[in-house]
Amino acid sequence: MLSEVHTPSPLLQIQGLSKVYETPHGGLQALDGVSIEVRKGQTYGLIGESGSGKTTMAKIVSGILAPSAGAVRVMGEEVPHSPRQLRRTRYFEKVQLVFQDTLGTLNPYRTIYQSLQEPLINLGSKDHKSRIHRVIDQVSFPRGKLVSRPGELSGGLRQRVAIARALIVQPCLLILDEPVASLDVSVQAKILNLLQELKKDLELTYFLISHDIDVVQYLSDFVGILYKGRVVEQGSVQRIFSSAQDPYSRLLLEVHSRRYAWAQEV
Amino acid sequence: MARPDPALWCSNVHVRFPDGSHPVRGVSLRVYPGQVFALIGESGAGKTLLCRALYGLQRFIPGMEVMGTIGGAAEKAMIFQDPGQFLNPGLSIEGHFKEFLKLSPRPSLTMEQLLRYVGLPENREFSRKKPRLLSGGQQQRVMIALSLALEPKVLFADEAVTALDGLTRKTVIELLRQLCQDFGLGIIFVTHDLHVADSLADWVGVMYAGRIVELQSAENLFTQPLHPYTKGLFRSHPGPEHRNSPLIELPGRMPPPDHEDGGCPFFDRCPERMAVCKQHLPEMKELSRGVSVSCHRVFQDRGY
Ligand SMILES: Nc1ncnc2c1ncn2[C@@H]1O[C@H](COP(=O)(O)OP(=O)(O)O)[C@@H](O)[C@H]1O
Ligand code: SF4
Ligand SMILES: [Mg+2]
Repeated sequence: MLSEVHTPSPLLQIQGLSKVYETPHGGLQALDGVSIEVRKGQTYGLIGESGSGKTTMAKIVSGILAPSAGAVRVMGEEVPHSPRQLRRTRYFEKVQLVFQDTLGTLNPYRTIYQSLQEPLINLGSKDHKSRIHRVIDQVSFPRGKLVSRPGELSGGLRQRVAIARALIVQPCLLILDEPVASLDVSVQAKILNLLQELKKDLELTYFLISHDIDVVQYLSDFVGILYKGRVVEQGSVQRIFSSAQDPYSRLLLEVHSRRYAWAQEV
Repeated sequence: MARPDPALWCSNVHVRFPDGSHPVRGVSLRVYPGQVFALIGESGAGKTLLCRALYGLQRFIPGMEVMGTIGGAAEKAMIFQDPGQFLNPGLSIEGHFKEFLKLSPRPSLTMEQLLRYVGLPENREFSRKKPRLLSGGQQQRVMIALSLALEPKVLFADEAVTALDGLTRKTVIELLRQLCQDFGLGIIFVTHDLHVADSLADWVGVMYAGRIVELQSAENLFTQPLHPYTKGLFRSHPGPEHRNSPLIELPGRMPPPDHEDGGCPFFDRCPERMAVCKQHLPEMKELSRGVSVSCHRVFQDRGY
């Protein structure tokens, strides 16, 4: 018990979170009593298959969607549910969301510079140019391409823009919703390495949500497994990958196992 | 016992377009009945166009010119990544089978048998449904069942499980393996996902800039990759072995489909390059039975 007294309070605390969507056929429970804690500087990876409730989770934690029950706290403060409160508490300055499909989320008619400038305008901040240059240098996005539009960029460069756009408001927590899905292996490696470097350099905390077990294992310190809206098991990455207990977790990890021992020293 | 004839083979296949792009550059391969040949490689390598050429789809693709020799069985079918685009939203499942069974000269399987085979319900309630009422995995199974109605000897599958999650993906992969065994089908399976190739393939061809640069049995390829590009893919793939170290990135990018042929197309990115590589394109050589690679370094190390 003594050790608990000394542990710092979590940066992200999700308590008894539930979400029921109203549908013509009655309520659909997308999340059911989920509790998760993430400490500063750590990466928590939530693994789930489609329909498990991952996107609902990302939306609630980022303040886009209100839960039906339970609470999300960031640095002890509860996530507000109304747009007015979100603005007043400047929640978006603390928590930012990085999606997978950047072609769908970046405005196709705006230049990259304009897309990066938008959050700064919303915040009423000055110094746009120097902040934009700093953040694109951090994510290794070439300055010469600031005048491009999203459609003219490769998937890897677009993903760098998405990360830059999240970082420009200097958040402490990034929610990464399938951050490398649909990228090729060699491009994916560059983004994964970038995420690791940024976490260290900027002292970020990550809440990663993905169906990709290799990616979760690579990035995370703690792992939870989401099944039909419930976290059926969570623990350190080592524990989950060496001795998962829950039958669904075991099945999921088993299905993922490799048939051949891939060359390690190549 | 003599090896059976390949279900599909090709020799020195090229694909060109009038704008000067040359996305497939001299591919030769064989796919045997009852086996899965996986084509792996990153986007832009030419995998999909090679498949389309082997299937004979060029007449539907404006400007696409195919050269080389293609042989094997005439009975071919193809399944895709997105069944939603393949299935007709206005037509019931039953309606789809009626259309497809009409295409088969002497249909020997009924809709009920096909549905049962792919693990879908055979009842009217199901077969009267429209595609959008089915899950992604069910739509993929319907597409597989429809392709079987054509009684193919070769099945082309382009990223056919990419959109499916782990558990569903695994069941579809098992179904495809079953097809190979039960119908003696040769499957040519395109994927950029190394995991999928690991769990499904008997043979793997690694494509880079329009060419197959390494071709081995799946077991050999995964345990003893030879070509520096294949090795680079493994090194940059996250896995348990990388837990506490950065992934080793492959620098640079693949040359575009209109690049000039010269030396090895991997030269700029290759950690093992030698002087000869810049001038001379390495040819594809069979080093031992079922082990082919195109790399000067490998030739030198092995005395070729
Ligand atoms: N706006 C909505 N209305 C009704 N049902 C929804 C809505 N959004 C999501 N759902 C349902 O909630 C469940 C969980 O959805 P989601 O959070 O999108 O999961 P995932 O991202 O893991 O696919 C799914 O069954 C989905 O169909
Ligand atoms: S031929 Fe040379 S440059 Fe090409 S892959 Fe082999 S070693 Fe590298
Ligand atoms: Mg989702």
